[in-house]
Amino acid sequence: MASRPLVSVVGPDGAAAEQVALPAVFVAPIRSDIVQTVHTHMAKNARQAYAVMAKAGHQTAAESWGTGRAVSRIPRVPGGGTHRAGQGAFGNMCRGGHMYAPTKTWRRWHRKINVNQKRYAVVSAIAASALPALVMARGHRIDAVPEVPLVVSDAAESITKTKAALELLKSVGALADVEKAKDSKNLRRGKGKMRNRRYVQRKGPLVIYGNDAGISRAFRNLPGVEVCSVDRLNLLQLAPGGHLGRFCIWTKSAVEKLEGIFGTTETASTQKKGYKLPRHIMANGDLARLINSDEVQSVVKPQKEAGARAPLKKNPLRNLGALLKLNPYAKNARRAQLLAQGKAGREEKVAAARKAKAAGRPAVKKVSKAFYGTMITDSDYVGEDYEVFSSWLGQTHFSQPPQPTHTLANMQTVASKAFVSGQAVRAAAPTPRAARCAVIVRASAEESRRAVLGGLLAGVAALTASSAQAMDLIDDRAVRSKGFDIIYEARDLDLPQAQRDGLTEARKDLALVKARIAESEKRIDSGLEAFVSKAYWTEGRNELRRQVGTLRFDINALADTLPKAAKKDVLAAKKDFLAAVDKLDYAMRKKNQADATKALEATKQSLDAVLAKLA
Amino acid sequence: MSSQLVWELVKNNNAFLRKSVNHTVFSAEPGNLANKSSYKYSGLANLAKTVDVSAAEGAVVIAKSSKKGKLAGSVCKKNARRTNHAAGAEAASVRPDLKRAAQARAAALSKGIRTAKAAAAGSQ
Repeated sequence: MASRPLVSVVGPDGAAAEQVALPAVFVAPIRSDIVQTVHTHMAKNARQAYAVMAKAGHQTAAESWGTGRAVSRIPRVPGGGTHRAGQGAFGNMCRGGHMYAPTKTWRRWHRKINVNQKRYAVVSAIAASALPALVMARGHRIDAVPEVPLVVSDAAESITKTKAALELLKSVGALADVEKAKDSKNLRRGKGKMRNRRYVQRKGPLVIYGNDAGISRAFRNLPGVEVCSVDRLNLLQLAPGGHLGRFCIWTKSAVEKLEGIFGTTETASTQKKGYKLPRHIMANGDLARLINSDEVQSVVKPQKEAGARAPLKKNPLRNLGALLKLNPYAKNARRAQLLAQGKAGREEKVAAARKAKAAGRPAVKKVSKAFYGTMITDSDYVGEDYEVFSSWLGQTHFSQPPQPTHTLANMQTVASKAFVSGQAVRAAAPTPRAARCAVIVRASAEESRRAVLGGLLAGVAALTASSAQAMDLIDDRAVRSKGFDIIYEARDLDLPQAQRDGLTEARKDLALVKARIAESEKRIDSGLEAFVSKAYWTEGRNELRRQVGTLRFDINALADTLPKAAKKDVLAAKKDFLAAVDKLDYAMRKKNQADATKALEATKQSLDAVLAKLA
Repeated sequence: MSSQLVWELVKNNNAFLRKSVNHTVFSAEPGNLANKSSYKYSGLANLAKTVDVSAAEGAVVIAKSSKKGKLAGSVCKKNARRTNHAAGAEAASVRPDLKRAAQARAAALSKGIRTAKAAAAGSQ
């Protein structure tokens, strides 16, 4: 900091009139840590002693009762006849006892501060007040101030009126800070309100004069503004709260005095014996400039290059890109292979896949074929082991030829037993349907072959017993695995199948059949039209199904009454009709009105054709 | 006084710090384009060399440090795109590292002004 610049002096009108050399103290090192410590200590030096009364809580002759009385050993008030007697005393936990660690007046209230530290702190604070950044950082409003440090002409020192002082502050652009301080006045938070510190307020500018010709009185009543002689600079004012950068307004004479008060780094102060300003530890504090200087850059190591990263290992057998890197021909090879395969290759592949799938399935067909073959072979067997086979059944009476009627009864018993117990083999009894006396032998999957053979023999026995009866072999293993036969077991097996299915009903009464056909035709002709035109698709389809559901059986029933050629004709026409119905249904499912209308027309026509042929 | 030293003095305590929950620390001084408490963006530490983009009276104001150690600038009476461009150019002339920040701030302010104007027009 060899060269010290000049500071312009602002006249009462706010215009810079002259210049003054910047005192060395304004470029002194700024040590915020010293300022803070010194401020903390200095702030304590204005304190007054306080304490609670020394005897508080001890004005009783309490004594502990000691142990053995089942009460705590706290001292207790002696005597009787009053509530106080026997109560605890002295302790901070007792009512009427002393406070915890009663405050004493001999607390160390004040702090000694080394004078050099104190001076360092003041010097730092003054230097900080010359930096706009730090003044702004403290919260002062210095936007309108022409220059920091702000030096006003000596005319300001002779201002005697606050009005004129305000005028001056306004002209130098310091009014904003005063206004800020004024507006900031507010109730203090906490108990301080009731301890004669009711309001809080921000600090405004600090006016520092060289000679008091009325300036101190003129400025002192302005809110937030403090006035101070340059000879009596105080850290508590220069750095309130220990925070650097108070906004200072100097008079010209004050600035001129600074050199004598603080001296320079070379020359000693005239007022402080042997005091010179502290020196900067670093001549240049501009770190960026230091780092980027040629001297530093010429000796530092060059910047290290980041090493190349190892690429991620890829498996060329899985990753085509990695394979192509190793073997560029692989691409052509792959393409040639695909082309060679062509369509035929793909079909082969599909066939192979199908075969593989089929091979995976259990060879049911093979097993069943083998079983059937064995059974057929075995059934032909009528050799000497006959006795042995029949004995497997455990029913010896089969061996003796009984009366045919009895045999039937027995067979039925066996069959019913098998039904109930879920046994495999049933020699189903002759039913009315099997009036030809067929014997039905059933073999189911879970049964052993031996048991089946036993059942077979039972059938053979029945065959021989009832002489010349045909034998039906029914393999119902698939049906049993799906649980299908349970339904049939629950049915009345004595009824003919057609009657059970309800088919005979249609043929019972031809007049009724004709009436139904007429009604259906009427509904298809007139009713469906409305559904299609209104796009009531679900209702339309339901109606169509209702009519066609009975119609096809009724047509069959009527056709049965016709001669053979005519019947064939009718059935062909019916087929056309049903195809048309199918189309109509599909159109309605697709909700296609145009198609549906067309299909409905076709349906009507084909139905008419069928009916014409029936008539 | 170098900007590094100023930053060391103000970084822990200054009037513009806005500390909030979850350790969010912002800074509200003029010249801070990102409103972030950091050396790079600090308008206090870099008072001698920074750019300020602010809004005043429905327009964006672009200012940069003058020789006196103050921010000096003027209202930018351009459309939003040209304002952004101007802010970037101004920043590039003083602090090239702040160019993007200046543009981003100008863009955000322009958008705010635009929506505010639209809202005002809508409420009438």
